[in-house]
Formats: sequence, structure tokens, C-alpha cells
Amino acid sequence: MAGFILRKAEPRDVSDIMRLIKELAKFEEMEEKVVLTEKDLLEDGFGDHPFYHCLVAEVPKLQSSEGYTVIGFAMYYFTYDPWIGKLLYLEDFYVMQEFRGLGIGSKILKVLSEKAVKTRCSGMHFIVAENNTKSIEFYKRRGAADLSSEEGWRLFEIEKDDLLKMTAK
Amino acid sequence: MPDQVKISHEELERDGFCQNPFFECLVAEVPEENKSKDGFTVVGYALYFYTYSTWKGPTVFLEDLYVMPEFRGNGFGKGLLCKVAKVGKEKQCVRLQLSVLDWNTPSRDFYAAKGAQDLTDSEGWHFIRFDGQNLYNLANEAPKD
Repeated sequence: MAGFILRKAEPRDVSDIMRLIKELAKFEEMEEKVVLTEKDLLEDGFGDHPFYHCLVAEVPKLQSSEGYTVIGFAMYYFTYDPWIGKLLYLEDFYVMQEFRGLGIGSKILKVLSEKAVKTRCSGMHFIVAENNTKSIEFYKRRGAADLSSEEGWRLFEIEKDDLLKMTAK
Repeated sequence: MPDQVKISHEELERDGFCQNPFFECLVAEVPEENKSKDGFTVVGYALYFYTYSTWKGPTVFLEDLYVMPEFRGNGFGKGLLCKVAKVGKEKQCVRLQLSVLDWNTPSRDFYAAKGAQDLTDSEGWHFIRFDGQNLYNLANEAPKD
């Protein structure tokens, strides 16, 4: 089994994180929606008030793919549910294809849930596309509940143009 | 789902007014002479926080928006939503997200009228949750695939 480490992302990792974000978006068939740049990632994650936290999975140089040693990542932040309190929200979670089946994804999820418990979070939330059956099964095997199916929650979004119209009122 | 509210006002105070708050909150207040039949002057609220999209950047997530029934139809809901949008704009947010229950047609229509799109419908996104014992199990020992 390939040895790997999980560590907190550092500013030097932004180009790898950007690469993996685009790979995940490509898998979700929404690559054209990624407008974020490395500069945004750097300012937003490593400035005075970070908007996110990030873990990266790294393999030794000898086991790298096309020279890349950072082969997986998880981006998360803390949200709030007025019914139950703090939550850990998992925004992106991805391991490069050739490094799957080695327990890296499971380990990332374990580290994140330890973090959630340590920081007094009542739960860990995220969204998954309904056609991503492999991921849904992965999470359900570990006890996750699909709140959209079970309780009827739907995700709504108001984009920038309509947001600006509201601020003009 | 009132039986699902598990936190106390002490926790709300601690989590919203500490050094790095987990949420921000706007309240709608009426003058004393217009107070509710039970004597309340705070008649509505919007609770929100900041999230992050790896595709687009900072997002404001509207967690709760509520106006007491006797004060509806006066623009309080719209006012709170617009104010949250303004706060989001000041923080360079590129979008506002929220979740609504599928049977809540008045709310779904309210947001749709402001340009909201139902991404569960159009793109198939589902909310997933790990909580309670499942979260602890995950933290203690990850099961094999």
C-alpha cells in the first residue's frame, strides 16, 4: 500500500488545490463553472479571516503521478444550525483516480469527523449530486442520512446579478 | 419540527458573540406602540454565515429567515433578505444560498420571485448529514469498504 500523509494545507499548496478542484469539477461535469483563481484561493484561505480550512493528502515523490505528490484534498468550514449548534461543512472532498482504494478517502473522513467531535460540532454536513451513486453509497455505508430524500430539503441559490438587484432596493 | 431544537440561548449567545462568531444575525424590530400581542418588539430575524465555493468563492448562506405571522405582508421578510444580500455584497460574496423544505411553497415562491433557482431540482444536489452516533463511529473507527 502506498504510504501517504494527511496534513493541513499551506500557501504553497494552492496550485495543487486548484488543480484538484478542477479535476473534481470535471468529474461532476461542471468544469466550466470554476471561475476561482489561485490568487483567490490564497487570499481566501490564508489571509486574516480565512473562509475555509483545507487538508491535503500527500504521497512520497517516488509514488507520485506525473510528478504530483499532493493527490487528494478536503476543504471544509464551520456552519451553524440554530436547532443544534455548530456543524462542520465539507465543501469538497477528492482523491485522484489512481490513488483510490487505498484508504485515503476513509482516513480523510475519519480525521474530519475527529475534528468535528473535538470542536463540539453536532454533525458533519455536505451536498452530493444525486447521480453520484458511488459517493452516496460510500457515505450511507458510514451511517449518513440523505436529508433531501428523507426530510425534503432543497438547495436554493441566488446568483450575483439578482443579489445586486436586491441591494439596490 | 420544534422538537428538533436542541440548543439553549446560552449556546446561541456563546457561538454568535465570541471572538470568531459562527453566525451573524439581523433582527427586525418594531416600536413599543406596535409590539406583538404577546408584548414582543423583535418580530423577525435572519441568521446567516459565510461559506466557500471552490468554483466561485465566498458565499453567504441564509440559515434562518422568519417573521412572526402577525407581522407578515409588511415587507419585513423582503427587508431582511435584502439586508443580508447587502452584507454579503460588502464581504465580496458572489452568491447567496439557502435551503427550503419541499412542501414550503410560499417560501419557495418568495425566493423564486427574487431570482433564486432550485438547485436540487435543476442540478440534483442532495443534502447529506452525519450526526450523533454515526459521527462518533466515524471518528473512532472508519469501517472498511
